[in-house]
Amino acid sequence: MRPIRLTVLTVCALAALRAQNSPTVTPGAAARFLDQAAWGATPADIAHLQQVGFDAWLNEQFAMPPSAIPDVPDPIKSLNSVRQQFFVNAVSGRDQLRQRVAFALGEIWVVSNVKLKSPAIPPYLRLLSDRAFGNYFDLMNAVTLSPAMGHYLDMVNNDKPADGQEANENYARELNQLFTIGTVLLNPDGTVQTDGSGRPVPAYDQSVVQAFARAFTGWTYAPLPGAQPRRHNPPNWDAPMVAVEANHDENAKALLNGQTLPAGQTAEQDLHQALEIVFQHPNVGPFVCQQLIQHLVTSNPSPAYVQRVAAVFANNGSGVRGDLKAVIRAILLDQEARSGDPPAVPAANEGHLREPAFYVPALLRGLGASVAVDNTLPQFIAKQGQTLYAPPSVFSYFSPGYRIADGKLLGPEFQIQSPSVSMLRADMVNALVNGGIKGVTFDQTPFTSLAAMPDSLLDYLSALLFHGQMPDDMRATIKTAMAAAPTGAMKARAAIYLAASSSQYQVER
Amino acid sequence: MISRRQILQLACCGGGLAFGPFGRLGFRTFGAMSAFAQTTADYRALVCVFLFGGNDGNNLIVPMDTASYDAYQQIRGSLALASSSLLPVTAKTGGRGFGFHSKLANVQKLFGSGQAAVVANVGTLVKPLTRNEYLGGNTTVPSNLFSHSDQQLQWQASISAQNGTGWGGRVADKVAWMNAPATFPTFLSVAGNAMLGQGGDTQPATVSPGQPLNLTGFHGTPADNARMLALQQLLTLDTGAALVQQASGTMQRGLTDSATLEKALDGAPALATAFPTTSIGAQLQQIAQVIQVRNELGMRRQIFFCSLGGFDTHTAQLNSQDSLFAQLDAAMGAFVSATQELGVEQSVTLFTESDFCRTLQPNTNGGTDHAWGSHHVVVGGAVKGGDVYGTFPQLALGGPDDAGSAGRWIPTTALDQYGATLASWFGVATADLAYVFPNLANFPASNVGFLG
Repeated sequence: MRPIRLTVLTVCALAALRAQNSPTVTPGAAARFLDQAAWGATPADIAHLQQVGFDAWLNEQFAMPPSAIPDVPDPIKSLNSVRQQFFVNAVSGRDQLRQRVAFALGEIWVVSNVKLKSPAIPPYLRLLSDRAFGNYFDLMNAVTLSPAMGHYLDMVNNDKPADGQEANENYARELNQLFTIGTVLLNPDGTVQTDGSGRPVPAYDQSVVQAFARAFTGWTYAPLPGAQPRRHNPPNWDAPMVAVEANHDENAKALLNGQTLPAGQTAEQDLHQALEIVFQHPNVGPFVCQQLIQHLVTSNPSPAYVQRVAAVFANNGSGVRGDLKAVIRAILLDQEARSGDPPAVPAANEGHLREPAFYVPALLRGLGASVAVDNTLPQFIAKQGQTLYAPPSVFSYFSPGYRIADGKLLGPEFQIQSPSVSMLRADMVNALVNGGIKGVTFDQTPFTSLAAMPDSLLDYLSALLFHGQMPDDMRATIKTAMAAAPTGAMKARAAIYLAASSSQYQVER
Repeated sequence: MISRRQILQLACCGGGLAFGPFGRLGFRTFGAMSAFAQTTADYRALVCVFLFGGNDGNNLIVPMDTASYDAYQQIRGSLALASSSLLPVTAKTGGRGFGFHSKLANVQKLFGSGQAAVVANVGTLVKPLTRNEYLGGNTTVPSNLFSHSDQQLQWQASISAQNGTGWGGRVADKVAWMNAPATFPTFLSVAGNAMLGQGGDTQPATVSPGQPLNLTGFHGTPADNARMLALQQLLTLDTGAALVQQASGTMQRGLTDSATLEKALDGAPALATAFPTTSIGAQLQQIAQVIQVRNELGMRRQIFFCSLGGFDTHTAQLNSQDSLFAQLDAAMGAFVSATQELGVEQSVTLFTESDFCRTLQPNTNGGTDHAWGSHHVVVGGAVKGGDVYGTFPQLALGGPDDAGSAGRWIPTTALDQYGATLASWFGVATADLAYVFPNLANFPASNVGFLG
């Protein structure tokens, strides 16, 4: 039955995948969970998750210390090594869930190397990583005062306006529009509130943006160590911004829903109260939770799913609002996230396209490849529309509201999946199977050793990349191509190329 | 060696496999040879240059009559461009003097030679709107004004309520018959997916400038050919999952369209015109190269999309806009030269779009914030150039054109009118304009007049 020349590694891996250590978590269910909560599945992680179960696995991950994020090397001042380290951490770091959540938060709370100098980026990435399991209000405060965001959206040195000027509206607008509330009022389930004519109800108007802009005046970089504080300090990427009261607009500000900051307050009072008003807005839960669900699980969550998670955002069960740990647990353990676990089949509209920064590490983990620091993976995903830490604007690489061609379903990641980019993805897989990616070690022996038994090889690929559910017609098609390949190595490469470049793999369901 | 095109032909003709979606490949055969007989006069192209971030039109073109310039200088403060730095032009109609930004030397030259025009204060509108109506609030205005994402989409869709299509794609829907039997899409983006090009029927093609058109790793061996067949067949499998089908459809279009383009470009001589080595330069060069092989593609009508980002100048605007305009002007100048080299300068019209304009009043950081109606440039031999179309706003804070008190111009020409002028020249029948621009009938004129 089984091929004779199985390597020990392959036997172990297959055995692990077939193990039924837990009565509740099948290998396929474990693999699927790891596609949502980690950068994809590995045989070892599947076995471990089966052993401990979802809940204990989440607790382990919550306790896991963050993977190190390096500074940019002086004097090169290039982000390349930080981008390279992203792949090392994603493929082999143990804090998988923290990395996934921090990356998702970084695509909501966007800063970009397009405008920011490279040394500003690593401290910001650490800020997100450190707070991925914290409270959303703490995250709001930390990001608002971070020098990276301060520079990126111009809150730094945004002084009270002189005659003939206005306060800079950039951070004020995007904090509300992109990071917390959105432009229109939402129901608790994330659907849009409409007026009597069926038109969406705006969440705020231009005057509110201008009032927030004035509330956020009077902040500059922290003084560099040993330097004399000035009204506008030079960039300091390693400490939160500091207030300069003389530069703060002390007039009253009418913010959201008629809530007003009284005249005469300090910069810190205005900032803290303004953020509190935003945080308490009923939009924040559904607005943020829907996006986190889209990043981790599915582009088109049902309103009921959003509402269940948003309720946890509003109250973690102990009366705390904004507890991200509770929110993440609610997202991943929700019945809608889990109902497609094998042996069940995901619903027709379930899942999301893997963005390049998820596609690549998930594929490498699934195939058992390893990544050295000196790798060229950042260039590969840059060609696929995702230059790490350098999205084109604060609107990130893609919009959570992007719809696929049918005009009905959301498919955020498809915004950067143009026809030509889809071919560049396949080209990356071609480079991977032919050893053409510097810094990536991919031992194909386990696959080659199964090449004489196509069904076994396809079982193996199915377990690694398809939650054990590679469709039969797909298997038949790949087998045809394998049959035409003259050597075992070529059969294995053909099978991996076709499986990994397929739409069925690229869309994680 | 075997090219992907040949493999696709193999897919169509051999193996007894069902490759339904590839049936529309329609490789250029004898039928398309008639394309060579088409004259240049039969060809028209629109080229959209989208300036992402919201370009400050107030510093693109400045009125030079004393009263207007004084008002401009007084309100703009540190962001006012010195009159001596501006590149002077005179509008044909009315003789009013204007000055272009100093980095727009090619635009000034083209304006002077009658190949470029400016359309003043264009923006998103549902219907004509006065300041009093806007401030009264009891009227219909575009949703989410001043928001990047919303206004970018509305500039591409022409309507607030998104139905997934853009006005360029709807134009393509209505002119696609002119390209028959060619199968290459009427709309091509060299800047990724663009909603502008999504039509009811039209599916835009994309090219990534500088990247290979064909898939790598296929060398024509029997094993490679079998693998290519399998890849194509996987794309046709019905998974019952909408997102998987979307991914498959995207790649199918990539394979099909790039095979067609690869064949058309095969053997085409290099353009003599040198393009700047900027992103926008490479994009416009790619567009020129595709226009060069229009006959090989069998195309009579094409719409192109390219973009330049970075116009969200909340801080230090003067330096940023200098750099961006320099890139834009050099690339546009090269593109116009290329159309002359190809003998299609009468057939190609380039136009700009952007999220919105920016406040005339500066903010505290030497920048400007999000506004509304802006000034846009149209370039080409068919343009009735040397003129400023539409109505230039009165540069007054809280004045009749201001939506508030910071100089956010309420548009006096709707995007719908701007687009309909382009679409009419392109060949969209008058009766079809309502399909392309559903709100066009709300406005007094459907043509702004800048194209013959």
